[in-house]
Amino acid sequence: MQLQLSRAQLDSDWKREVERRLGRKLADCYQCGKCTAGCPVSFEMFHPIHAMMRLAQLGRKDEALRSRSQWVCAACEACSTRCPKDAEPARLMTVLREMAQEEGLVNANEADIYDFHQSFLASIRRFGRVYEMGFIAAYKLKSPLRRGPQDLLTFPKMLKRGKPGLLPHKIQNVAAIRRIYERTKLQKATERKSD
Amino acid sequence: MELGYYPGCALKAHATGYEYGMAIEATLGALGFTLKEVPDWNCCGASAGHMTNSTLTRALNVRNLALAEAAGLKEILAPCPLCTKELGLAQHEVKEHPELLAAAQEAAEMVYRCSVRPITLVELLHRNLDLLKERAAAGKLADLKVACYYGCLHTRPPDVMTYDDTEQPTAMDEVCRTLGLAPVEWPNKTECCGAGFTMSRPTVVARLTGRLLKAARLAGAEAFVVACPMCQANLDMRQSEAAADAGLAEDLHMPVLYLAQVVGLALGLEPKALGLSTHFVDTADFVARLRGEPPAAAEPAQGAVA
Repeated sequence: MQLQLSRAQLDSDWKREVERRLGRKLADCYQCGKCTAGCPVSFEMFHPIHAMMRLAQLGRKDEALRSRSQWVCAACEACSTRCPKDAEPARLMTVLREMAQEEGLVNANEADIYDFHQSFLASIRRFGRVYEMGFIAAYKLKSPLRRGPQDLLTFPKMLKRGKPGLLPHKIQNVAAIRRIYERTKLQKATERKSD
Repeated sequence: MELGYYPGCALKAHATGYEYGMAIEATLGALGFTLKEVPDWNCCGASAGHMTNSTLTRALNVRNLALAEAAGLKEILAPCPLCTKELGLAQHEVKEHPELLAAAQEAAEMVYRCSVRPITLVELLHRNLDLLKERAAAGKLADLKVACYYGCLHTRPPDVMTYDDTEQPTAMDEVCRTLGLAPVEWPNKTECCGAGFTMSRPTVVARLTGRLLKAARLAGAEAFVVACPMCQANLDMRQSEAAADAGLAEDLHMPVLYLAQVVGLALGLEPKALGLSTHFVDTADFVARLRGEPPAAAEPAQGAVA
């Protein structure tokens, strides 16, 4: 990684906010690389997990939030489990995912992963439980040409085995779930500034 | 014995892992457990919640925990480890941080006194090894070699999933050994299968399950035993892609059985009642040998890939 250090970045409000959400000092990480060594998806990352930690340490907000790595992270927790400094790299990924959404910086190249999560969550909001058939259809319809053909041959084999079922399960108190969604919405940075 | 039960979405009739739910209900029933479902439970948020909004996920799970508490349940069996982990993480966080508890209670409009403990099926069965020994004595299974695969979340994060060793868990192996099987030693027990990327990044799933397939076969295993609907689906549905990615010369057709199904077989339950005919990789031959029957070649293979 090319290093460009600036005092403003090294000691920024953004870094302090990351540390507050992380519950750790970013300087705890001494870049040993054990997290990346055990990460099952580092082969998919331009910035593997120890490099994400480094970007945060250096206060490189824009690169960190726009990175694809936090979306490719499988949240398997191997990194945090093995970190000799308990620096919580997996939780850093959670923090970066939430901040990227708040700042409108979700990397568009990871739209498949992001749309999948959003379709899944919309399904819970509507029924209180996940309706597989419904959310998969919604996910595919957001980009039908690309996502439509995927698994087309597997699908009939699934249906033959009754997977997934055709009808949703709806809980009784869906209204409570909707209110939970309303109250826990991520706050967009633009809205926050206008407060 | 009464037992709190949080089935989770993946185990219900409308989902890809419904046979896991079938097998659990049949097997635990045969063992003498009465399952008391958490009333009106909601989804734990799964990967999507964890990957996008931890505040939402915490509130969704505090609602579940509070519903269980109100129903008088001390422990709830959450057989999908993703659910166990999300419920357990919420429990862990709100117990340690009163401000998080207050926020989650407000969002969920519920009071929660932090008294519920979510447990995995592996923990439940391992705690009842004596009962298994006693009940399974008649239907002892053949000593076929299997790879017990725990996946990421049975033992992680270690302060939430406290039951077994983080890197070298053995509880599932001990359950299988008690039933007569011969679980192999292999190094990938807690590696990730790609979990929720099965549609959004299938190439990652193929790479990760390919590694598992190769390692399990090198260790001499004939089949996987799993206790997670994502692990099962990823290993079972995409096995030919996995074999190709791992550079294996041929598709291995390794059956991927749920632990609940294996226990059910040992109790003498019929494969069909355990949902064994719904898998993609055919299980009939392996199951017949497990039960000490002649190979099921004459029967039409129920679960053969179409």
